[in-house]
Amino acid sequence: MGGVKLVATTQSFFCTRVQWALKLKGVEYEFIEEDLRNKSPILLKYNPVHKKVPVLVHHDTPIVESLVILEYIDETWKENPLLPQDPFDRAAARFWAKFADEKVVFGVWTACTAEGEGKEKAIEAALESLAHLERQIEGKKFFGGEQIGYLDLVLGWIPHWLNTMEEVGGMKLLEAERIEWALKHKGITYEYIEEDLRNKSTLLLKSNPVQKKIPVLLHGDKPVAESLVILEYIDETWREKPLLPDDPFEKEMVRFWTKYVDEKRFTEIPMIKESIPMKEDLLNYSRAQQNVK
Amino acid sequence: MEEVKVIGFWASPYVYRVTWALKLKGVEYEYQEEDIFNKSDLLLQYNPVHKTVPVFVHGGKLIPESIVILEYIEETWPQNPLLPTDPHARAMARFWTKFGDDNKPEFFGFFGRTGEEQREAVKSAQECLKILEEHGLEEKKFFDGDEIGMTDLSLGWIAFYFEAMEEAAGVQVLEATSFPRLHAWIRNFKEVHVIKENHPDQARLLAYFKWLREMYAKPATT
Repeated sequence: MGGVKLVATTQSFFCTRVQWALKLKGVEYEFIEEDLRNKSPILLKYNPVHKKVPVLVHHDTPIVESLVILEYIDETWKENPLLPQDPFDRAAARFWAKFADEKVVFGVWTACTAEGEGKEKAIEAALESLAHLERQIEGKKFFGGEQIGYLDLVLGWIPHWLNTMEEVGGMKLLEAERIEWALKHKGITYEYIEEDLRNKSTLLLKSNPVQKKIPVLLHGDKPVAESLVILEYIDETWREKPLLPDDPFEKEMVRFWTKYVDEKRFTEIPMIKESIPMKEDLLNYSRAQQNVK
Repeated sequence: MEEVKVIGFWASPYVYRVTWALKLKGVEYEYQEEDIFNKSDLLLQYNPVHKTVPVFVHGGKLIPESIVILEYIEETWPQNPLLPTDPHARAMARFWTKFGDDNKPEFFGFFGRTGEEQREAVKSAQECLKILEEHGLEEKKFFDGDEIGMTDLSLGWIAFYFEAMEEAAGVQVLEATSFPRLHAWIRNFKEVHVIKENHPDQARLLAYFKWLREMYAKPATT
């Protein structure tokens, strides 16, 4: 088939999902790296309306908008279908992809970059959106079932980039924030000790020698690590105003999301692993985005 | 025969996309009106995520989101296709549909504003309309070529809603001299039989938008 080119950046997950799709179908393509601070004539030629990446060029014709590109790829190269066969299942996948891009991406990014009161509201909204998505993967290995599919590609940023955005935003969407809410909810006074993860303190290394990670709760001189374990500890130690939901399903939901991000099941697939840029690059890119604001 | 039902609101252009598609394909359906200002338990149950119309019901399966519904209808009832067969042309149809929806704040921003803010919003809307006119429609009769398709249905709000919104907001945005192609498209679109027989009543729509405007108009910034 005619030459395939992808004009993209390595850091944008809208671009990476397209790369994953092409690789899944064994399509050979030329990767043209774009510097968005210095847009090339190629980009301006192929995407004059939006001047954004990714742009897929096939038979010298451009296609833009990552979700539109995924549909095009699925229709043009029939092997290893991305979307399910049944029209209703296709509708569901499209619905959740749209929801993810509109509510979750925007929500999590806002939560990372907002300040003060706005930040709290944004985090709440983002968590609510994530809860909806979580229900879609219930009982399945991937959103696409046994094999990754369209929706997994669209949501693939969650395990990997979420952690990056969390570090840059100085906020752990699923972990430290929940601990602070838990303590506030129960009216427990606490001291917040800011940790510079690039220069870990003696206190952290002593409190969590195994993982050397935050959050860590110090109660007296007893350290408790692992956000979910901390939540359960808080709930059991201070019994008024229970924190974890009584409902077993809802309780499981809280446990699930922490687990999903931690396990990074999605990123262990060898082909996906190869495509993911070095974490350092991502961190630098995300920080640069923040400075631009 | 499996149940086919559309839950909608008379003034919603998103609902019209779906009913137009069904009529174009000759699919019989039942319509259920929903008051979006007083949402029923049924709607909240059918679309818990967004709580919006339209919701499409087919043999007990529920599908929200008008564009997702259109793709489903296209795949389930292939007669009188709304999308072309060529993958690239399909991609273009999807792109322009998305463009219309993604730029809602730009297209409609003028409606809820007054004074200087409104003037800025009108310019914003005209920029987006220009893109539709020059890159989307180009020299074609319809966005989807010689016959109407998914893109035309999804941009149907230009034909029936925009004028009422402009009048209610007291501005002119889609001027005929600046947008000759879009105006030609509006005339052609309204002539299509299914569209001609099924569209919101203009007088009622104008009253509705006047009422909405009173409810939501922000005072001009000094």
